[in-house]
Amino acid sequence: MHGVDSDDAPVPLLCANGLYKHLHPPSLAFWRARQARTILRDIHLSIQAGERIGLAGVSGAGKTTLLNLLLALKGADAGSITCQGRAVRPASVRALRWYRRLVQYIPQDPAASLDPRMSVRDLIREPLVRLSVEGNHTRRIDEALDRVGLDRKFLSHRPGALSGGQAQRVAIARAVALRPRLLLADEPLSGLDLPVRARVMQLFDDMSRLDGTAFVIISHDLAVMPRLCERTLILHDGAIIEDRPTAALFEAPAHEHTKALVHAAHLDHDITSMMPATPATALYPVS
Amino acid sequence: MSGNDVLKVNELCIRVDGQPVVSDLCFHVAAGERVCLLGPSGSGKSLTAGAILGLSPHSVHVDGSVCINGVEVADIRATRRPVQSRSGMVFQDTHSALNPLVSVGTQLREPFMRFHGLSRRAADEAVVTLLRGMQMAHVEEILKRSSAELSGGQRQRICMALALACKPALIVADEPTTALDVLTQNEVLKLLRECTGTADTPALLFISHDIGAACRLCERAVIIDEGRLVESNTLTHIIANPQHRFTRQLVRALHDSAPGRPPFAPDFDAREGLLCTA
Amino acid sequence: MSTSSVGVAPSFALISALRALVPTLSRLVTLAAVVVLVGLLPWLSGRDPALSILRARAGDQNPTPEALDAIRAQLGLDMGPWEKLGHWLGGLMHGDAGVSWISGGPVLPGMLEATGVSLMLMCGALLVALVTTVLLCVTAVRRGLMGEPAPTSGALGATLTALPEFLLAAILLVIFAAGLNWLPPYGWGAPRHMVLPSLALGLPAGGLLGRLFSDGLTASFSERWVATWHVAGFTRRRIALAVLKRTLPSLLPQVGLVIVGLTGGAIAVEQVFSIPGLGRATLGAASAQDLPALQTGILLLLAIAVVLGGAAGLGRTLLLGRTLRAGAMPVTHHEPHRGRWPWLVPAVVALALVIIIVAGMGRDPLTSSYLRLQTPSLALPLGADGTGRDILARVSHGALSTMGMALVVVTITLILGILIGLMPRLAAGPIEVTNATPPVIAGLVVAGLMGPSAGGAILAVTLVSWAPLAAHTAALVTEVQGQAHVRITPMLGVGRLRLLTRYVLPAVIGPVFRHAMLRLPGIALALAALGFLGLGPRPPAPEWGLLLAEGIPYLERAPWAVLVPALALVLMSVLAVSLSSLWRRG
Repeated sequence: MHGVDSDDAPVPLLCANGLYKHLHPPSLAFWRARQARTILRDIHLSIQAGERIGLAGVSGAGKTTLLNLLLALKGADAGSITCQGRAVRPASVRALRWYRRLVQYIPQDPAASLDPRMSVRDLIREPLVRLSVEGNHTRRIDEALDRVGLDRKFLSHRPGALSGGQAQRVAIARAVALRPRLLLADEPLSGLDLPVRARVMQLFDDMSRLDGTAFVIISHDLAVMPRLCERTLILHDGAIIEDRPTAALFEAPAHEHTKALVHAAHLDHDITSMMPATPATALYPVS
Repeated sequence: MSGNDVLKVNELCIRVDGQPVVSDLCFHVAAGERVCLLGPSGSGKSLTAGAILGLSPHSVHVDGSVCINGVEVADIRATRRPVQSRSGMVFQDTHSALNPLVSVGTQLREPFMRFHGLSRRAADEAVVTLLRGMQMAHVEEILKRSSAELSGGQRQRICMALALACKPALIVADEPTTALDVLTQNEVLKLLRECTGTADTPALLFISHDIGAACRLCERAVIIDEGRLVESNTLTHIIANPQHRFTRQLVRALHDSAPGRPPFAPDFDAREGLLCTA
Repeated sequence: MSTSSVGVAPSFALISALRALVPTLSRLVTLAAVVVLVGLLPWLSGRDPALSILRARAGDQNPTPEALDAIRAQLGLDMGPWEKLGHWLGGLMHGDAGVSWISGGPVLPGMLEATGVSLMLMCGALLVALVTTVLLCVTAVRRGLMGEPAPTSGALGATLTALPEFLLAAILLVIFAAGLNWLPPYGWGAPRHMVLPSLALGLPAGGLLGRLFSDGLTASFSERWVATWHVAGFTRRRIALAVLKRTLPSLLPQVGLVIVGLTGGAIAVEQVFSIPGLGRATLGAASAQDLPALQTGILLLLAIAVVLGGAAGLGRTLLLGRTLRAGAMPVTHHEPHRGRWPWLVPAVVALALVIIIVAGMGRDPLTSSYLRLQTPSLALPLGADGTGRDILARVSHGALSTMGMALVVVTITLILGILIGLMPRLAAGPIEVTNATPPVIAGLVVAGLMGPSAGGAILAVTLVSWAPLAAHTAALVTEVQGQAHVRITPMLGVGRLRLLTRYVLPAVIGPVFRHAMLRLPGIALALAALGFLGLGPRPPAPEWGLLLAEGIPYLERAPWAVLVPALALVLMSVLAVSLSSLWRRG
């Protein structure tokens, strides 16, 4: 079928094969068999090391469900996920430690994902301890802070004493300290100030170029993809309708829905074209 | 100019628990005009909307003058305003804007019976015609449902239909697209543009923090920061020549959110994306 | 896709159906457990019923083994407990609830007659409650229709709620029966007999409902759609009706609880006004150790509570209809409202209580060193009671013992509540059932088991007071689990135990502790109610409820013997209500 690899092709970091997920709406008439709604149908996905993939779709397209399946928080009704050849499915915290060390997640509002009662040091150390990461934890914590450009003096601060941008960087440092092979980021740029945005983009660039970390960037807005991802997938009505290099997708969207999304992404751009200031491409050159 | 102003806000000051949040705000919206009120979060946009609509909570103290259709309404709650000075309202939170226990059809029917003098049956037909005109699918089905059973985009369109059915001179839309995804945002913006801003349709005051959406909808912008008016001009002018720190930031953000490549979409029509007339 | 979904649907339907049935099932299981408990009362009580019956029938005659055996055989006490339970349940099916151990006659007819009286009293009380509620809501509706929904101060409602039924009954008795002589102090039959008991029972319920409804209506009136409707040209009457319909579903569970609470309050009111109702009959059976009558009475009281609670739940489902099924009921936002000095009332009341306690500390509460019913004087500031004991000393020492017992109850309920609340899904049923059991009924069961005592009262109040704390804990746990920093814990490898101790518990323990402390005065009142009904501490213990009960016979000659403990209890009630409203707002 799909996931058959020949010997010379590199083994994908993460591979999803024919995922299905159904939803059973709650009803008072429990004796009646209900028509289940299919949220995800026949999802095939393979991610190579260091690859940056965008996953776009409008609300209700199934982004969150797919994310939950990839994070092994929910099980698929059919199909399988494998990571470096090992099967991934929901299990106890202990049984999934190996997977959590490899695949980490940056939630939509990272600052809110910090426990207000813990210091920055404890926050970053928590997954290192819980996931039994070997090696010198203190050095990893310092390294992660350097990575996100945060001073060491913040180590004893609590999240309440940090600004929004600093808290965001702590949350990213928590994921980075584990040195994951794959990072799933949910709307990583929405709600960020301009300088923080640039910094996050730079960090993602560095991680994929220097460390070979792979990324899955999830967003409802196609406009962020060209800057962040080489490949973009469009999720529509629970199915992947496009899976192509981002540039090709923008130049010639095949599906009607993709056309609408590309169109929406261009609306803002068109307004900028009449600005006398530096063009967008000069601000952030596309490699 | 003052003769056909639908909305005239003069020296509006808003205090919350004694703290001034908006001070000395002056602007106007002429009949058939679409104006956007832009500002960062916390700049007092929503409080201004509340003061214009007469929906300020109790802890909020409003001073100054708000004239709608020539009637001074700053001190009058929405529920007690005379009919000609009532304005249609569209909110970000569509859940609470409709009664979830009454079917959508029943709620839409009422203004047609009250303001258009139609019979029950004729009002029902008028509702169907209005929604069909707004490109809604499965109209009959939707009218029987409760607002809680609709999607966010559908609910927002029902709210707009309700505002339009009241035949107001002005519609105040407070962040109507913020909670929606990009495609639904575009549909709602398009609909707002089609239904407002001409001689025989209501004028529009669009309140938002999104300058991109504002450009697609409005001709003129009023920009406030920290409760004060910092810039007021046509959007074309503002984008080409931003004066204030916040305005510059907005325009920079517009750069940043735009894709890093020129538009190559084959059927892309630039005029649709941009309403500003140079 | 449809083929695969059809295959999956039935098993999912079964699981979700079972999940939906959990509250109903646990309600039934708990009810069955209570019925079995009641059926086994004769054995669980650990006393020899034959002995007490012989004493009741033949006075102080020396019990011979033959006489006792004869009574045992006659009552079927020679059967084993489970055999007797089966016998009793079988009899119930045929409408035979057994034979009274005291009178020897069948129990059921008299109890059913008493139930009729109680139901009539409750109808009267409901009418009073309804009128009170409507009157208290007029301002909220008027302000809402003017477009300026603002919470009313609720002072009147709070005052009415502050008085527990047994206390209000005593006060009404003092004013209208003894003082003004307008209405008969006791008896049943003529319509005028119904006035005072209905007021005593209905006013507190009406006060509570009035506050709940005016708050709820205000919240609904501040929703955006009300403004939309005004602009859309809806008439005021239709808006008011729609707002009422919007408010009702969220309040119906509480309305149900208040109505169920009437069954508990009715017991006290019937006792004060000597009304031949179900509560008084059951109370009499408890103090006479007439177990068949007690069993029947408790069963009938529980049946009334279950029917009323079920009706409230049904009403909610019917009103919400498909909106409930869509699962998307918007939450009403409530603008918090704070008086200028929210701590003023509780502080003043607490100070007054402290002054009473300190003033009476050095005096002797137990010896009869004064004249019977001696009038107050400088040496004896609050007078003496029916046996010549110093009332100031008794009230002061009573405060300490009542508060001490309440503190014990609060500590136990806090621990129980947190432990049970940490398992929200499992605890849903028991929380509901215990929440719907008035403390007086629990007191009856406990007194039937182990006889009236201070320990029994503590146990009874504990049994029903953990539920609000558990419900609060469960709600907080659900809220904490939804927070982003807890939702991400599976990704960080945080295990279940660490999640509970490091993330959930620290967030929960503070608010629940404050909540428990604010319930202290209310629990003290419930203990006093049990004492008043003779289900708590025994004389001559200086306990407030007991003090009030002891004073009532001398109502006309020595009103201070009733007024002083009543006033102390009123202070305690005001403290309870003002603190609990602080909790609701904070």
